[in-house]
Amino acid sequence: MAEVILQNVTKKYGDVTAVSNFSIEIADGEFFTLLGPSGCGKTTLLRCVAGFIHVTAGKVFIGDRLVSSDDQKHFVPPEKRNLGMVFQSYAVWPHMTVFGNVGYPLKIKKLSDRDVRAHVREVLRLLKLEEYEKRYPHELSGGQQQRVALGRALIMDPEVLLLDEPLSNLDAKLREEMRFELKELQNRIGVTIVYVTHDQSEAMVMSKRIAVMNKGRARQVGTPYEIYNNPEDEFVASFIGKSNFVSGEVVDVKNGVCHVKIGSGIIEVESRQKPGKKNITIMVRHHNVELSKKKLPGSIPARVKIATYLGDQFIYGIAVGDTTLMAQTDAGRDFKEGENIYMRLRNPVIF
Amino acid sequence: MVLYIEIQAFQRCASLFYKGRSGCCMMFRRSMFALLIFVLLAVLFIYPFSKLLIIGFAREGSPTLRNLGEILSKTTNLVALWHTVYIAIFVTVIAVFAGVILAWLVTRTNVYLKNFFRIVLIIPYLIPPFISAFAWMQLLSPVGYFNKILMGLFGLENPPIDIYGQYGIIIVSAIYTYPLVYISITKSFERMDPTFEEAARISGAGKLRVIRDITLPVMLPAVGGAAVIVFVTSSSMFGIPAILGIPKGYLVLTTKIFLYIGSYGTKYNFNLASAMSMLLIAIGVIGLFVQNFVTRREKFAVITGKASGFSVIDLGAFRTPAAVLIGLFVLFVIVSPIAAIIVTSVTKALGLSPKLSNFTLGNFKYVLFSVPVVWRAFRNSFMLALVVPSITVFLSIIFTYATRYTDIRGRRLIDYIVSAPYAIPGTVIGLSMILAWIKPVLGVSIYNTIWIIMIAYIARFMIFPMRTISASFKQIDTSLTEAARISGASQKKAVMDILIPLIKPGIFSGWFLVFMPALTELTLSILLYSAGRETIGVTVYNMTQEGLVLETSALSLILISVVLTLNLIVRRASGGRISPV
Repeated sequence: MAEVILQNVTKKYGDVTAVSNFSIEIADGEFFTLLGPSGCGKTTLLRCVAGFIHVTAGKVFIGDRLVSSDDQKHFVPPEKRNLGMVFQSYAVWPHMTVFGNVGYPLKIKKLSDRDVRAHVREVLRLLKLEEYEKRYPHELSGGQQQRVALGRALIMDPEVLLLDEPLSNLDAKLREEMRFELKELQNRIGVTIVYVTHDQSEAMVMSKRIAVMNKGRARQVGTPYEIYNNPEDEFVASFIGKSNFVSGEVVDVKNGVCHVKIGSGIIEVESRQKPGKKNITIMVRHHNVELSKKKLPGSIPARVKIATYLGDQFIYGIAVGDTTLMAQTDAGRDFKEGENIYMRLRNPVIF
Repeated sequence: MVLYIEIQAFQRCASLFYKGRSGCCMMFRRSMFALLIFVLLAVLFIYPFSKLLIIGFAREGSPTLRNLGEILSKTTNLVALWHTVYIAIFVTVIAVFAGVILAWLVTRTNVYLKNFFRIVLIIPYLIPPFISAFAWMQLLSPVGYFNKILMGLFGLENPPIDIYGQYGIIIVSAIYTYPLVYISITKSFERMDPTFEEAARISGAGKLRVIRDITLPVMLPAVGGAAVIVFVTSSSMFGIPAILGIPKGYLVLTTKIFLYIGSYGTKYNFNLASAMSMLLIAIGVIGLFVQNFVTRREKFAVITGKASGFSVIDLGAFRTPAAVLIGLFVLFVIVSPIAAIIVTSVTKALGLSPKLSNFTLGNFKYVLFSVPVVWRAFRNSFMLALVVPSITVFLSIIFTYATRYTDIRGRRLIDYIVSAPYAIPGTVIGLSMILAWIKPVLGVSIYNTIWIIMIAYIARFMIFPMRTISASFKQIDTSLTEAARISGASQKKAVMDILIPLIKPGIFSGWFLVFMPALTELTLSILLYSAGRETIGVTVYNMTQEGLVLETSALSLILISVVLTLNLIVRRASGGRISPV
């Protein structure tokens, strides 16, 4: 087990910067996720840790060992890093059986056949694959192939487990099951996990900490709770959770409360820091848009444009002046299309 | 409500009426279409090949196995069979070995000049094999340049290398066929999922270990498939064993069949030639089965289409030696035969040493302006090379459309019938065409005309556009044309506006894949030509047989220049998408 430390890691391809000055310390046994849209540099970063990519600048440590730096002499090739990795395509070798795939790392280490067999059986049992030992990959389902890839990554007791979108090729139901299985597995064996995904709910469910990335940079690093409730910028807010972005005009600031004009009404927003400009953007989650038939303290008049019913909740399109907000409420409080109502915002964030 | 029901009822009646009328019309049109397809298949494939079977397994109209028995009881025939297999085995081993190593070097390593080598290494496949054989004669015949150099260097009395016979045929055939392996393995390397190898690295395997444990085993089915193609190609080749084998009496099945056909005095010569063709077809059919088996194994080698920048292996200290090695290969295998042809073509008289004072352009002048057959041959070959691809492309569209979009009975058979010539060598197709048309059929006589050559070309080359066009059809979801129909286009309009534009790339590459071999075809033409209907291939071959070495060189050089230039232009124009294989 080991921590992973990235210091000012930069990777450039010609003029294109894939990763820019990225620093993080991932603790021993942590489940850490790199989250971002495709092309944000998350996979590049993971492959720097794996050793498939040489960093242009910066340093990568695994445990207390420097494995990568701009100075070529310190480069440790992937086969010497003692890592486990699960690829998006699984990369289960088609010409080897399940046993052959899972046992391969031990064969490289020249363990005796008996030890290899004992170890492989143990891992296959852990992953519920005992019956498939002699099968070839094309005789397995996607989920089974994925577990073979996981078994191959785990068998050598890696210091760190790297997971590159391992669930993205599974169907929706299996994907949700595997989230919990992975999480549980990590609780059991305590390995450090670096996880790459573009799926925010996957990241939220499994991670201890998340780095939200965009354009090669970390926009915010924090626990799922921090990232959801206190997004540091508009990108993070829009990437995680369902949010409304409303532009408004600051008309007054009193005792840490901003009075912001939206449409024809003025709402009060508690602000941690004083907004530096007059025209601002307010972010509010869909479920934090509170609707009522009567005027409540701090609410402004609005109109229901569209009402949809999802079984356990209602989704409304609410018109305020010429902007439309999405509101999500529990079932039981229903408003009709065209109805004039009142609206107020819970936990809004000012950008 | 009542009104609604009434409208519905009316609509239903109207649609019934409409369906009934157009259904009858459509049924008539559909059966005409089916008939057309059947006639085309019959003329091109079914009739000639049944004729071959009938003549091979019958005498004077009664079925018998005597032809086959007579063939198999003659030692010279068994020797020809053995030569065919023996040569094919060696050619396959050499071609696979060279093709795989070269493909690996130019795709997976950082060898110097790899982008240059990558294209240059295809060239031997672009040069017509009989010209390649002729060029190697210039180098390695008893009076060839290499032999002279070696004799001079070591003070030998006799030429050390003899191009005629098995070794010459093997070397020249291997040079012609290694690009088949090289191109297909290059593509497989590029398509191979790079994470297979990365997963092995992470598992602790070093670079060499990864090649041994992962790269080679994963590539094995592709290599096996390519090997089968080389084996079948080599066993059905005619030009090379004709030029390098016949003079010494070293015969393989194709040249033996060729001689049987030509020996008009012999009784039952066509029956025996047909029976002998069965041996050659057997090799092709076995090859087809083996390939099917091998590619079925490929199913488990999940080679993905995602080629996201696989790791390039750093050759380190071997970077220069590897480049030098490929350079020498290119020099020996590609540059030297072309250089030999250039030198011979500008020499004043055979045997003169290559000095500036001995050079002349007279050979070109003579070939181009004093031999009328050359112009005739150019005209015939270019005509065939333009018409045949157009027809095959057109027929491929019709056949593929019929297979995929209609419910004509037996439509699945079309593909099998059209693919048959893959297992049937050119010599055998030529023989079938002779048998089919030697007497007028239903009052139509095309024997000794250009038409028989054209039909034979179409039958032989049909498979190329069939492959490219059906591949592009496969990428088109039926919903695309359905959307056009819903938008108001008739079936014909949907085909013209949606299907044709989408299969255009398949059409272009299919056309070109036929154009090139049709331009320089020899195997069929040599069997089917008559005075006035010579093709370029026939003319070059006949000139070599007449011993006109200087003139043949000049003509060959012109042909090589034309072929390479056209390939280069098409490659450029298509952005590298249209390649010769």
